[in-house]
Amino acid sequence: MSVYINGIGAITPQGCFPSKDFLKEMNIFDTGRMTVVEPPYRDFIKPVPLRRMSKFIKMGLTSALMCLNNAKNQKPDAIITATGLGAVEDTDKFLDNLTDDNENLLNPTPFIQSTHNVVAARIAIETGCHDYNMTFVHKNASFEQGLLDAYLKINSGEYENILVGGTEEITEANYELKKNVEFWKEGIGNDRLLENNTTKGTIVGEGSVFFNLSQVKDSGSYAELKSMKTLYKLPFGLNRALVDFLASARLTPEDIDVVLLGINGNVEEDFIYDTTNELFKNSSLAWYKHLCGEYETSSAFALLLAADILKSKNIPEIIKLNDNKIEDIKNVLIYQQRFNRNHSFTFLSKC
Amino acid sequence: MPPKIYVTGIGVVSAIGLNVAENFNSLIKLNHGIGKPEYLDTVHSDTLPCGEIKMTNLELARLAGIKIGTDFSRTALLGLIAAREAIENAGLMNSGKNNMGIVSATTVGGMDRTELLYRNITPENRNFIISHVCGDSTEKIADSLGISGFVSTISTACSSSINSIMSGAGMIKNNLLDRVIVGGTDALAKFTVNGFNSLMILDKNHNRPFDRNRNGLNLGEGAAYLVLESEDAVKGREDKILCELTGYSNANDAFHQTASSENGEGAYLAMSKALEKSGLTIEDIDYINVHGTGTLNNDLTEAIAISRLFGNNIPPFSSTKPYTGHTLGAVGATESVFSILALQNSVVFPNLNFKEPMEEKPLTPVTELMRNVEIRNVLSNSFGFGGNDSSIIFSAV
Amino acid sequence: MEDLIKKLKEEILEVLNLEDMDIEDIETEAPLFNDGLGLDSIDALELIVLMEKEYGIKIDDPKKGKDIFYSVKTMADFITKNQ
Repeated sequence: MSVYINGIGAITPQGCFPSKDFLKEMNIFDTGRMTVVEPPYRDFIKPVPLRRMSKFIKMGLTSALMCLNNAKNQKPDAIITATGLGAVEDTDKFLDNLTDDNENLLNPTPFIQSTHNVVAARIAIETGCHDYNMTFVHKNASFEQGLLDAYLKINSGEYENILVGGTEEITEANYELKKNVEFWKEGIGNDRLLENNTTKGTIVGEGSVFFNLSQVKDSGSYAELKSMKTLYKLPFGLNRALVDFLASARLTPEDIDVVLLGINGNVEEDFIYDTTNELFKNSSLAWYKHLCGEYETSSAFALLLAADILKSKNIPEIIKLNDNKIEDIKNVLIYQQRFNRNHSFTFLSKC
Repeated sequence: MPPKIYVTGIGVVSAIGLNVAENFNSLIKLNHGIGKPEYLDTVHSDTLPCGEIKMTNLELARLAGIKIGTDFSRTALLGLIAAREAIENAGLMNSGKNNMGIVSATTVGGMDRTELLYRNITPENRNFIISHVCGDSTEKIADSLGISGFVSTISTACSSSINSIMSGAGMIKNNLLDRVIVGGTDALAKFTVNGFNSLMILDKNHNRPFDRNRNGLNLGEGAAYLVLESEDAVKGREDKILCELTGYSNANDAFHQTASSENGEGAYLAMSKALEKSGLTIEDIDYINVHGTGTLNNDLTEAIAISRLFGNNIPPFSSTKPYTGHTLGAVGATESVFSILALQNSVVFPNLNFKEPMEEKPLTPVTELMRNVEIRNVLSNSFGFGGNDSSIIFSAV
Repeated sequence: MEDLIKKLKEEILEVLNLEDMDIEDIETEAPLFNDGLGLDSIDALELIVLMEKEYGIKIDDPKKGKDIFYSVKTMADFITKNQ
């Protein structure tokens, strides 16, 4: 069975999607952190449940509902979410209380909301979906593994349509904690990330992007999802991994019109992508992390761009890495990794 | 016809034993592991009994074959010990890793270390910042066992490790993997002890699942893993087959973040869909290892769901949480291992601490060890926060 | 009693994050749960924490919350009786 992307909903540092102004202008952040532009959540979530929700849950649930609206779908058959870090704000809040109050008289709410599957659970309650509900949490491969799960379940005919998405929040406290182990470029705007790719570090981001996948193509379909794979390590290098992945879809690098790369301006990582210049020399190479920042499920943002490129038949100027002109955009490949681990390949076509 | 999936290896570490043999021995001798936590540093140690593994991290590291001074959280150490046992049990320690993946589950990952360094970061402990995320323990296990392809982590609260088994099974069914290590791991942490305490669902006494006077759960820690293989992968090694994984399903209660619905809809759906997938009928199920946490809410709704599905033909059932405590992300895999042990040894483990049936739904679990019972098919349940309900069925070959 | 009721309402608004509401929106004798303000079991647990933190009254059995937290009035009565 074919698998189509029939709806997208997103809350990102570049605003919400779908919206007619999306990426018309780039939002600039120079604090080392890119935070989402939040929509009026009240338009989506009732006040009683809303009052307790952290940004993580609000973003996740709202983008999921936006996605269902976009797909003109009331209720998904199954729900799959992805998050590398989970509910950071609630987890920290509970840790704070635990530390400050010496394990006494703790408010239960942050603990209850700290589970990684809290967004998936909330969407189930909101949509009344009693079926399959899963949450993948494997670092920067989380989203692709969720996507693969959804793909397989539709492809096999087990489900007709599935809601799948990735959500990540960054808090002040977590950003400070992250500074202990990773370098972040403060004072450099995301618009100048590539000019500053000879130094260590990148910019932190956050966001929530959901997709409605369906076995039925309709007039609103964005693209057809063809195949995806995650590899923890590359036994024979990136070139071979890319060629093998494409071969498994009966393709060669020449068939790929656009390649979206997880380049992030970090001198310790970006060289990994060098081989793609040669391998895809006729393709349009592009990147996305200057728009959404670096976060575990940022590849969901990349899939949004890929799907939109295929539907609109247009590659936004601000993501292009070379000047190759593509007449008819048919095939898009997304490749990303972190520190040479958790490499992921996602391939989609126009429909 | 989708390929069959076989279990060829099991490994477990819990408060009642450091390996499968020790766990089995405790189960049949009715030795529980619930008591005062000695290694977890919490103000509640005198009032809240736990199923703690009586070893320091250093001792666990030695057992896991890890050099001292590495950045393994307790969660990762426990995981590695059980995963290694499973892979050795399957006879795959030195071969067959080619198309082998791992899907591991955990609810709080490296929280056992995070809560110690929180607001107190030093050059010595900063590596543990990285080991906090759930995926870290999975990667540590994968690195130690030489698995490099599909490495995945799932976290859906207390049903996590049944879901990791399901996920791995799906990878085999779709011919994406030949073999996969599946299971879960979670160490005791102040975070979870205080979390469940704030929900007022921790029993100050030993947990009493399905009992009228039950008053909550005891937390535990541990890890358990299974090796799943496709029919083709196991060719020539058929003697390694422990049982077949015949059914599994996940459903959602879609009712409340922590409470389950009155008619146990999610639990009912999970069990009935797993049964449907296995092609078995209710009469075929010989034993149910219930979720049975000992909380007022869970046991009642689980009893209602079981009655809805099985009517008056409820097979022998028991909760093994009075032995181990509720080990969160590890519990589904741990109880899967216990279910397989029941299957292999023709025994049903008793539901310790049970005295009187619940008023509202009086179901009586097995209270004494049953021996020489023919068990062909076992159903095991794990239900979690967010209404995440999973059931799994193992069948004799 | 009047002061206690006013204080309780303010505290309820704060601990339960009822940002959109004023103390005038909470009727002293109206039920807080289900049909009333629409509070649920998690709110009941939050109110148990409030009782101990602010009034030093420990409620060990969450089931008792049902009667104690029926309304602001019943909460105030309970506090007066137990302090």
